[in-house]
Amino acid sequence: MYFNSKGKEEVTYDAIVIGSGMSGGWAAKELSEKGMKTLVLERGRDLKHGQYPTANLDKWDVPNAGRLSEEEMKDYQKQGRTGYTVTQFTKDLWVKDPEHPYSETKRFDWIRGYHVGGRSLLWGRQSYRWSEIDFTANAKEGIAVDWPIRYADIEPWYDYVESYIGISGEALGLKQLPDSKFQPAMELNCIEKHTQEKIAKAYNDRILTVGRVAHITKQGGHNGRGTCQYRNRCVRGCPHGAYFSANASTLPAAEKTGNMTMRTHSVVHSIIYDDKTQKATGVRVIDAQTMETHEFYAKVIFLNASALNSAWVLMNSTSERFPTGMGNDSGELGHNVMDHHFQVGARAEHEGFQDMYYKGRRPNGIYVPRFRNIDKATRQKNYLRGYGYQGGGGRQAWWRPAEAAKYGAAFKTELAQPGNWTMSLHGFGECLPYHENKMTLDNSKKDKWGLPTINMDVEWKTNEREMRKDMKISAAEMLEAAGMKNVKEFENPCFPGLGIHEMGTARMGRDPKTSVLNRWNQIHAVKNVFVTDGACMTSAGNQNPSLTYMALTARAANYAVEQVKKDNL
Amino acid sequence: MGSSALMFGCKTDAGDGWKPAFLDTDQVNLIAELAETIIPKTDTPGAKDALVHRFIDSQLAGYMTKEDKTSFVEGLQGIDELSKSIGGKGFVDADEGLRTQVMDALVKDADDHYAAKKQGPPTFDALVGLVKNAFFNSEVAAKEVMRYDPSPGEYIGCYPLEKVGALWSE
Repeated sequence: MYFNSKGKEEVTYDAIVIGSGMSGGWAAKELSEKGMKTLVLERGRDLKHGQYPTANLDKWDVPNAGRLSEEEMKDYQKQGRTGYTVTQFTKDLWVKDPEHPYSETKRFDWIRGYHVGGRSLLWGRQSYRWSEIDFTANAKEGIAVDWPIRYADIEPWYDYVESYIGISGEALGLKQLPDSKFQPAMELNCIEKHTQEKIAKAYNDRILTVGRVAHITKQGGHNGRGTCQYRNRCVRGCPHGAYFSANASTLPAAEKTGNMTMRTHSVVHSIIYDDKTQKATGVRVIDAQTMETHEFYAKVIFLNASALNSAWVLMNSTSERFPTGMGNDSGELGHNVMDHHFQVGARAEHEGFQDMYYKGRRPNGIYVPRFRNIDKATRQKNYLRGYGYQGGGGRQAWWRPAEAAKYGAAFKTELAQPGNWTMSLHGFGECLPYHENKMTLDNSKKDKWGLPTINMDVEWKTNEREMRKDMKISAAEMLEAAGMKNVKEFENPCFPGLGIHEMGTARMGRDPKTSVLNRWNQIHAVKNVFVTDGACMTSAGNQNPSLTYMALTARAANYAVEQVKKDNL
Repeated sequence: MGSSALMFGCKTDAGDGWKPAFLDTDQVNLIAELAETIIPKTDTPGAKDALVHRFIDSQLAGYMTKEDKTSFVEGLQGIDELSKSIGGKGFVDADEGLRTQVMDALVKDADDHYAAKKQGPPTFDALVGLVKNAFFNSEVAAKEVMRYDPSPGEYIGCYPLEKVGALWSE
């Protein structure tokens, strides 16, 4: 493929950011605000804050009360594996699988949407800090490689991003789950409060709190974003900008500086390497619509295309120096794929609190922070690391079986009232880094741009399976302690990828022989390329990771600009 | 966009030019009457007001598998024949007493179906499932049977049920 011929634009910037989502938006903002002329390359279409056509629609405004037909689902065979994300309200926000194929040696559910803002528009907004326990786990247990940073390195950057975006939650002072800079916490409902009290009575090392979410709950600051209106329509895009998305927050900030250029429909082919300077000089791009090829140049490159796509770019950036992909001296590029395993826990019913209900649709649930393997007293025999619970309570709606009558007036009357309270605990567990869990590039299966597609070969192993046994039992225990009835453990099929937290493909580490990135997220061997999305993760933790990606990005961008000013890059 | 409650006799709606995409007129009338028997108008709107028959017709036209469509049509036919065999009249022409007999026979048939561990849902359950889904997802049900609050503005975790009075529509 020739890039140095017809149709070429030669444009030079101070920085290029590949990807405009959760972490790319932060790179764009930080670099632009610090005076760098920044080109943002997004492979998908433009999507400006407010362009949310389904945000205010009701079920009767769309076909089939929101469900897709079997025929329509043919475009979403893999995206549809979540069972809930692809609806009439959101179908334009998920990739059409036939257009973006990938292969699976073992089943891997790669769930994403390609548009400006990426999954920062679609995410669950759950936001939890890592602790020192997470950063030191690999070293303490002799697993994979040590993180080259500690909590103290990232702490000020958690403060920084949280103050900017707004995180609502309750401070608990737990060592395994440091508190964020919090907006007012959302309320728990009756059954959740009841469960919280009972768990506190029954256990001295378990706590139930409300979820920590990237929603603004108190007006003031946050660049004019609105407060949460408790509509729970977030996934369609929020007209109020009340939850964090790149679209509502970081990208407008970047744009405001006048230093950002956004180029959409730009599929990055590779990063250009200059052997003489041992630096990257720019990026090769294929226009997704016209198929024209372009090159763009910059002093600094931030790679934020999401874990698998960032690794793909590096793997496709081959040269004499890097025959197996840029920065792959260690052989770890594409390896150590991790995700969070979930779909396991327990649920139950309660016949009390019949005269109580709630008002508003809270876009958030409960959280039980990790209580396993956090010290000697909580060490587990059968597995390492830990898990948290999400979930929540509510009253059953009309879809439940009626008890008073099978049809008729009494049937309608009963179902038009709320049913019994239910409570559920859904575990989210950490996955260890295994070298053999990997992605590779398949040159025998090309996509419509002539680019090799990704093959996924990832599986859960013994540590994950043993942990899941405990996740089920411990959830049921807590619901029993809360005096619930019909306590039922559950475990549904859960394959890597379904957590939508895929990570690990270009890990950070101290040693270039065993890692791709250094303590500043720079590629060891190509210091002007920074990777700050999920690809950089050396271990997975059990916490939802996006907040950590944002903090790492802000920290790396700050460092990158300092280095540019010192003429080091 | 949206649909208004309608007040046309015991036959299905007219006046806004709606035509079924899948069912014939007799089938439309039959499903409308069945749905109204399952979820009748009381002091709040029922299935006909909520245009349940229209929703089910559009599901049949574009949102059901071939097998489910066939099952449904056969099920409808079976119910009409059941009504004729019990009381000599089709369901649409049956009085309340005969309709009750037909529904109760369907309920019993469902119990027998489960006792015999037969495959798939019995006709009654499949029908009730479709009707519930069509009714409770409708604008009429959301606004006049349940409580509709498009932009609550706040979340109060413990709120007295008597202040709401019914299920929130989601």
